[in-house]
Order: sequence, then structure tokens, then C-alpha cells
Amino acid sequence: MDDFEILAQTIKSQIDKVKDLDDIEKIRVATLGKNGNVTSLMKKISTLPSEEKADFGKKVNDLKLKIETMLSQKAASLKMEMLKSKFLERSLDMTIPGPLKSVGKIHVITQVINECVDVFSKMGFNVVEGPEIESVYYNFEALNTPQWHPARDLHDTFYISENLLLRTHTSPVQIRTMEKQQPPIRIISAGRVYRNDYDATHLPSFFQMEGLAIDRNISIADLKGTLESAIRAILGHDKIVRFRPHYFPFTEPSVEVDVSFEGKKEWLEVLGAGMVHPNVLRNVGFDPDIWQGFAFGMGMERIAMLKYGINDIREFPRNYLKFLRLF
Amino acid sequence: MKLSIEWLKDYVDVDDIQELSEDLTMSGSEVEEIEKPFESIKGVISAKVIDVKPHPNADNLNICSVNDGSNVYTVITSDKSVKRNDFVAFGLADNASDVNGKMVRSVDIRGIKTDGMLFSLEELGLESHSNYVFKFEKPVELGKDIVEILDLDQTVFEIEITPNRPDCLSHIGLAREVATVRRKKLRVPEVEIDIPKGNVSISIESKECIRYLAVKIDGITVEDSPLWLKRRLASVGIRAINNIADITNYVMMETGHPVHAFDFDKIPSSKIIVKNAKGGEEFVALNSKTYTLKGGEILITDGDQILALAGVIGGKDSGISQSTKNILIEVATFDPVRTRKTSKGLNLSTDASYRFERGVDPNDTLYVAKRIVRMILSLSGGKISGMEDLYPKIVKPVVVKLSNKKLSSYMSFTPDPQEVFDVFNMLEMKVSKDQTSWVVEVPTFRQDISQDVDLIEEFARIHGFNNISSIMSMPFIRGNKNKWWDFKNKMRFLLTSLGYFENVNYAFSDPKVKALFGNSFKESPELLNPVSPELSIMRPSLLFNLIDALAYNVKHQESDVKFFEIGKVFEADNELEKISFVSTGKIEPLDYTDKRMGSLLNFKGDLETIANYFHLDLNFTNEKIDGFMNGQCGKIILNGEEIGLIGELTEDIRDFFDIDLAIYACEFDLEKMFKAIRTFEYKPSSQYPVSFKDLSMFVQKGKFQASEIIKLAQNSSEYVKDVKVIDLYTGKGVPVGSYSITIRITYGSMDRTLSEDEIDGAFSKLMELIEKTGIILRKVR
Repeated sequence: MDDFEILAQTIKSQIDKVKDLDDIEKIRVATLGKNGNVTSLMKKISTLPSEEKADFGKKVNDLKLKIETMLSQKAASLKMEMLKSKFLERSLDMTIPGPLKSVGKIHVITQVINECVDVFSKMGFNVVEGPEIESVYYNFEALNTPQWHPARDLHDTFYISENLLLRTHTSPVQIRTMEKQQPPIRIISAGRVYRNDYDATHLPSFFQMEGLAIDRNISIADLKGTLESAIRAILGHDKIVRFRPHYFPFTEPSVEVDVSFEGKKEWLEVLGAGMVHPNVLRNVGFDPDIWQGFAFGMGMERIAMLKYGINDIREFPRNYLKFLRLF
Repeated sequence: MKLSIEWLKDYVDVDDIQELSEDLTMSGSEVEEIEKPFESIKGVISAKVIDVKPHPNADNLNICSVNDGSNVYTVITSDKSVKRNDFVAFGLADNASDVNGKMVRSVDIRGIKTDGMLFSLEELGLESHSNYVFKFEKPVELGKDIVEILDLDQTVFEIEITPNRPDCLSHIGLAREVATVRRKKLRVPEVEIDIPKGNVSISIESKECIRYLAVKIDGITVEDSPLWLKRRLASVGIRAINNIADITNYVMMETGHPVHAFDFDKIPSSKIIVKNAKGGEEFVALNSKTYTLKGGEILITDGDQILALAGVIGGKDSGISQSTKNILIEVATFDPVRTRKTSKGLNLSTDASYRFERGVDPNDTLYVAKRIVRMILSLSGGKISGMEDLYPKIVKPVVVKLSNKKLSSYMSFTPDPQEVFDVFNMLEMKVSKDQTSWVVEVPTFRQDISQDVDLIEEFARIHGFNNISSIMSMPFIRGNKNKWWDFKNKMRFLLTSLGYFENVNYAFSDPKVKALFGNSFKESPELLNPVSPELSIMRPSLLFNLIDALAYNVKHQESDVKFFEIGKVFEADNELEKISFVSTGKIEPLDYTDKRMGSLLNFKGDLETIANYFHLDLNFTNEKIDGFMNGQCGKIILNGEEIGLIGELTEDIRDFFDIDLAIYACEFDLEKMFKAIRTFEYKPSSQYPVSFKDLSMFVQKGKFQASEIIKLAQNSSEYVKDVKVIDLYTGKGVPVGSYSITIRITYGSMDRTLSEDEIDGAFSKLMELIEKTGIILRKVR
């Protein structure tokens, strides 16, 4: 092995150890730079005897080329490595869960009310509202339920004073609407109602939706068609609906409406309805021989329970986040 | 109302129980439950007593050997009337159970072990109290199930009778319904008997006594009723007492007309005077309780002594006893409202009052009287002495006219006239027809029918609501948009998008919580009959229950809670709709890159975000509010009007709810905000670029308000398009008691790009204005 080969070996082992581009440059300066050892060898050529010049010159040139190649190859591989680590640095493990923003939820009762409103609105029912503290007149008397009427047993009433109470149903809104508006009328009214009855299956305050349609020729068949299609839209089109005679002082005839759920044998009551009682129409100054129509009232908690399979009515007023997040 | 199917079959043919249940339910008498009242009686069999001997260790007990046809068993009884060759009902230990499902056990009575026991009628559910074990009157086959021998495999319907149908509170009434639905014949019991007038003296001094009939029967024998009668009463939930009491109950359950029997010899003056109570009188009823009368109650008296509270309950002194010989049977009708007042006033509801307050037919009085007299004569002997029947104002059947037009209009089709006739006729109405209408005379037991629609209901329910086709094309109606309703929903979407969950709390509140808020909220109505003291006032604020719900969640491992509620709050004579929201915990609970805890400033930002959405500018006051931390709360002002409050809650409130975290709360009047919203008109934006200038300054708290500085900047030049806070800082480098605030002013014009001179001029003027106030500017950029 001659001196050139030894020198080439030495430089190669230096280059192999190099970790960054700066060191490459240092080696280039030390070998091929102005005062580099290979450069000094090149300078030496002119001082050599002519017969040695050619051979020496070729060897130096070969060495120079070899070093240049080694340096540029090393530089390229270093650059590649750096790029790779830079990419890794910037990369995101796409499986890391993203930080979430908190978005609240609308209470399930409001959601059910809104859904019912949507369904009835499409059938021409307009949304109205009424007071929760009512007079005995609007809650009972105007609705054909005088004092000492046995039907009052069905409503355990909260009283504020002898004449003021917490409405036991949304039906007073019927009276308030008819007092202000001439037929044709088609309204719905959802809101809070109160009954003094508190146990595992009854809340002292809950939500009802009232509906009223008054026109010249509204029939029991219209009542049936409206409620059947609404109930199916709300609870599912596979549901079977039946109309069972019942009694309410403010409708005549009166019915309760039951729904049958697939796989379940029993009928579940979902609402009460009927043709508006002529006495109620007379109380607001409508002539029952000209105007007639139907009214209905449905419990929103009941609908929510049937819709979502909720089996504890006390979940609604508890407002526990684990429950609220579900809907 | 309990309906015995076996009993019902006396009056109408019944084919199938399920079908019957369906018929009743779908005609308006909803069958809620199908019961088997004696189904718990198991393993009780007929047996013969083959030997009776005294218990060696107890004088009052006998040891009996009984044979059930295959085995001989030992039983011990205290009933000394049990004799050899008696046929009894025997239950083997660990095998037989009584009407309540109680299993017979083998016991050791003073050294003798029993194999079982002898049953009495009490244990079979047929008597309220038995002194003797049950003995068959005639020999029976041994080892036979007692349920079979005594016909105890009974089926009973529990039926919901609506308040308008007192006629259905009876077996005949329900039989009439069944007969009508199925077009079957109704068989009512034959009652022909002659009851001569006389020997009874009645006077009616109460206007609310509609009719009063009394029959005197002499020489009756009070004893046990026959088994069939006991069984029928027991199956409808009435325990047998004695034949007279049982017959009165039986006739009531049969006809729906409550009947009462007096011991005639316990009526001192032998006269009946019906009058109203003055008030203050004391009356000892059959149930042994003493009632002090309020006044106005109808009393059955002998002129001096109160014999019964009319239509509600009999008196103890004049009741039937074992020694009663002569009786006076009352078949009367009393005013429904008066009966209800009496029943409610004394908090005493009985089978009789339940029927009278719904309306009992005075015109069936003679029928009922004859029915009961016949039963008494046949079951307890005796002889009719005479009767009196006072009916001051006869109740006549009403005649109701129903036009064909209205019937067709309600039904949406024209019913077959034959069907209409049949329905009314089966319901015992007298039907005639003219050119345009049905003319129907309604029997007086149907007091619920007085108008045409009542007849429509009769036809509709018997025809079947489910047999009326549905129509799905109601006439067109003009629709309205309810902007207020929509606004509330928009508010809900806004709040939820800010991370708040909607609550729906009770509208009742705890007055103790209200007290913690001092004078912050107005007085609200109080309930006369609350469910509990914690729910005794109507909420004057949504906050109380919202904080309660927040606390409930914090206690159930939820550390970050943001809630809102929209709903009514109540003032003395007003109810208004408000929105409240509360917050505790982190600003972004789910964002692990953002660990900031919520602050009042951030909470207030949520409120202003809402206002901004509706293009509304809110103002705030710094003032003391009860329930909120001093210096960390204020009133919300919109267009110069106070609409609500906001701040951090006091420690007192946190302590009350047992919460150790900062809670921020806000409430405002939703309607006031709604009314302030203006519909926005389109305005084109400027085509020319705008310039921004930032200005930082130290503001001394309590001396200047940020809102004043912003307002100053806004009004400083016509070129100012917008003023925004872009930084807020306290801490190093900021004088104590001050904060550093940076505002960014946007300068621009609709018609050109402003020159640098114009902008600098305006900005310099603003700096001058601010410095004039004494505020120290930090840097200018």
C-alpha cells in the first residue's frame, strides 16, 4: 500500500465518522481546501522531476476525485437523514384523539316538544302559549267543569289562593285562544302543567301539549286522521293506534288514544282527545251549530318515555349530565 | 267498580271473557284488570270429622280426626261446635293456603302435633269475621277441592267508570252496555210485589233530598247470608256481615242505587225527618267514628236524634244488630253536589256517597224498593208493615233533538238509520224521528245526556270509534310564524353551542334559597298546598334550581358543569320568561390542550357572545347584589334598561349547596332582549382598505370604566369603524389597582382610502382625549 492509499483510507475513516454537514465541510477544507493536505500534494507536482510528474499527478487527481465523491455522497446521505427526522418531527399520529370542544344538549323534553310542534305545524297548527298560574275559571269552569263536579277528582290541584291555581292542564289555552280569535282556529300549545301528586310514577309538574281545531265541518274522522298521522310521525310509522271512548268534561264525544308497540301485547295510552263540548264553545261566544272541532292533550314525558324507552319519570327533572348527554 | 262475571250472567248472556273485556273497554268502560279473587285458595278439600275428643292439656281445645277419603289427619280446634260426622273444609300443612295466600303449617299445640287445619269462611274470604269453622249443610264427596264445591273459580273485572256514568256503577248498568254492544237481551230481575202505603211517617225538610221512600218490615231474623250471596259480595270486594246488611250491599251493586236499613226500634220517635244540619252537631257513624258536622249536610233524623248522614253513612245507634226484629228500609235520592260537599267536608267517601255525588236515578226507587223487599222477605223472613214515598219534585226524562245534519257532520258519514235507532233503543231511550232529526227521550238514569252531542257520543261509542274512517285532509288554514317561540329555540342552540346543557327544573323553589339572595329577587306566589317546604314557593328566579342541579352534578363526579334554563319565573301578580345560565370548572372541559379554569370575565364573554349574535350591545354596572360576591357582579343593561344580573356567587350560597368551587351565574329577562332585536337591513361594506391602530394604557380600577374608554374611542372621529379590546393584563409592570388594556381601533371610509395624515390625525386626537382623562398611555403602534 502506498502513501496515497493510506491517505485515502485515513480520510475515508474520518468521513465515515462524520455526523453533520459542518464536519464534512471541515474535512473538505482540511483535504481539498487552500491549505489542505491533498491540495499541498497537487502543489508538489510542479516541483517533481518530469518523469514522475505524470504518475504522481494521476494518483493525486484520483485521490482528489475519490475524496470529492466520498464527501458529496456523505453529504447527500446526511441531508437525507436530516430531512427524515424533520418529517418525523412534524408528523402527527392520526390516531391521537383530537381535543374536543364542549357542546351542550337541548333537554330531551324540549326536543320532544319541538318534534311535536314540527309535526303539527306542518298540518297547519300554530304555536301559542298561556300562563301557568291560572284562574279557577279558565282551568275548570270555562271548560265545563263546575265546582263540586266529580271530574275535579282527576286533578289534584295546587292552589295559590281561592281563585288562583297552577293550571292542571294546557286546556285553558283553548279558552284564551278562542276568546281572542275567530274561527277557523288551529293551534297547539306546549307547556308546563301541575298536579299535586308526587310518587315514583308522577311528577308534581310535567309538560303537556294541547291542540285545538275549530272550523265549520271538522269531524271525528278529522280528529282521527290528524292524531293517527301525528302519532305515527312522532313514534314511528309501524305503530297501531286505537281510539277508546272516554270522558272529559270539555269534550263530547271524548276518546283516549292508545298505541300498540311491536312485540308488546298491551296498549299504551298516549293522549286524550274529543270533539270540543258545545258548552265550551258557548262560553267563548261561538255558536255550536255553526262551529265545531276537536281538541287533544298529550303528555310530553310520556311520549319521551315511549320514544326512548326511559322507565323512570324522575330522570326528567333531575338534570343529571349523564342523562342529558344521551339525547 | 268490580264486576263479577258470574253475577253479570244473571242479566245478559256472556260468551267469551276476553271478548267481553274488549266490548266493555271499547264502549267506554275500560277493563283495567281481570282478577281471580279466590285464586290464592289452594289445596283446601272436603273432609269428614270422624272423631272429636278434648285436648288433654287444654280445656278450650278439641282434637279432631278428619278423613279426606284416603287418609286420616289430626287437627286441633277451639270451635267446640265441631261434632263427629260434620263435613268440613280441611287444609293439609305445607299444601293448602287461604284466600290471602297464607300457607297452612303443622304446629305443636300443647304437646299435640297437627297435620293441618279446618277452614272458616273468613279464611276463604267469604266473611269479614268467623266465629266457627265452616261446615257443609249436606254431606259432600270427600277429598274434593273446595274451590269447585263452593264455586270459587270466579272472574272479576276491575273497571274504570268515568264520572259521567254512575249508571255503570252497577251490574245491571254494565249488563245494559254489554247487551247494547252485542245486541243481546237484557234480563232484569222480576220484582212484582204489593207494598201497601201506611205505618211509616216521613217528612222532608231539606230541599236537597230529591226523593225518600221507606218500607217497614216487621219480624225479620238477622242471621248469616246464604253462601251464594256471600260469594257474590266477596268477589266484588265486599265482605259479608249479616243478611240485612248484605242484601242492602247486594242491591246497591246490582242496581247502583245505595240503600240503607235502620233498626226500627232504635228510632225513638218512630218517625223519619229529613233535614239539613245546623253545624256543630256530633254524629257517631257506623264506622264508630265521631263526626262534627259543618252545617248543611242532609241528615236523616227522628226529629231529635241523628240516624244517618244522608247518602254517606248510617249511624251506629240505629244500625242493624243480631237482636234487630223490625227494620225500616230507606231507598232515597239526594242531591249530588250536596253529597259531594258533605263527603269532601268530612273527608269521608263511601260506596254510597261515591254514587250519590255522581247522580242516582230517583225514578228507579220503587223498583229498587220492591227488589230489596222481596230479597229480605225471602232471606230473612218478616212481613211488610207499610211504606211511605215522598217525591216533592218529580224528575222528568229530558227530550233531546239530534239533527241528521249534525250527526252526519260529526261522523263524516250518514249512519244507517236502523243502526242509530237500535243503539238508542237498546240504551232504553224512546226514539222517534221527524223529517230532519231524531227525537230522543232519555231515561233518567242517564243524567249525562242532555244535548245532541251526548247522543252523538252514544252512537259513536257503540258504533265503535275504530269503525269510523280517518280523514287526512282538513281544510286549509293560514299559518303563522311564532317569532318568540323561534327566538327561544335560537337561544337554546346558541347556549348549547357555547357548551351549556339545557335544564328543565321544577318551577317550585325553596324559600330558604330565596332568602340567601336577599333582595335580589321580587316576592313570588306561595302555594297553599305544597308537596314539601322545599317546593313551597313559585320560583322568582331560575337560578335557585339551576344551582341545585349544578350542585347535584358536582356531587356526582362532574367537575365542569355549564347549565342553562329558559322558563317562567313568577312575581306577585305577573309571570315572565327568563333565561339563566351557570358555570363552574374549566372553560374547555374536553380540550386537554386548554387547561384554563373559567373566570367571571370568560363567563361574561359567553353572555356578550349571545348579545353580539343578535347585534345587541350590553352594558354593565359595577354594583353590590345580594347573593353575589362583592366587586364581582353587576347588572346587565340593554338600551338603558336593566334586564338582569351576572356575577360570582357568594360563599354562603356555595356552603348551602355544599360546593367548594367558584360558580358564575347570570339571569336576564328574555322578552326584553327579544323586543330589542331589530331586523337588520343590508348595508354594503366599504370597498376601500381600512387601517388598524392599537393603543395600550393603564386604567385605575374604580376610577375609570373600560366602557367609557371604548365609547370615547368610538366617538373620537368619524373615521372610527370599530373599537375592540385585544389584550388585558395585570401583574408585573402594572401599577397596583390598575389593569393594562389594549384596544384596536379600525379606521376607514366608505368612499376612499384614508391618507396616513388623516389616520394619524384622528389617532393623535384620540390619544390626547384619553390622556386628558388622566389615563396613562403605555405605547403607541
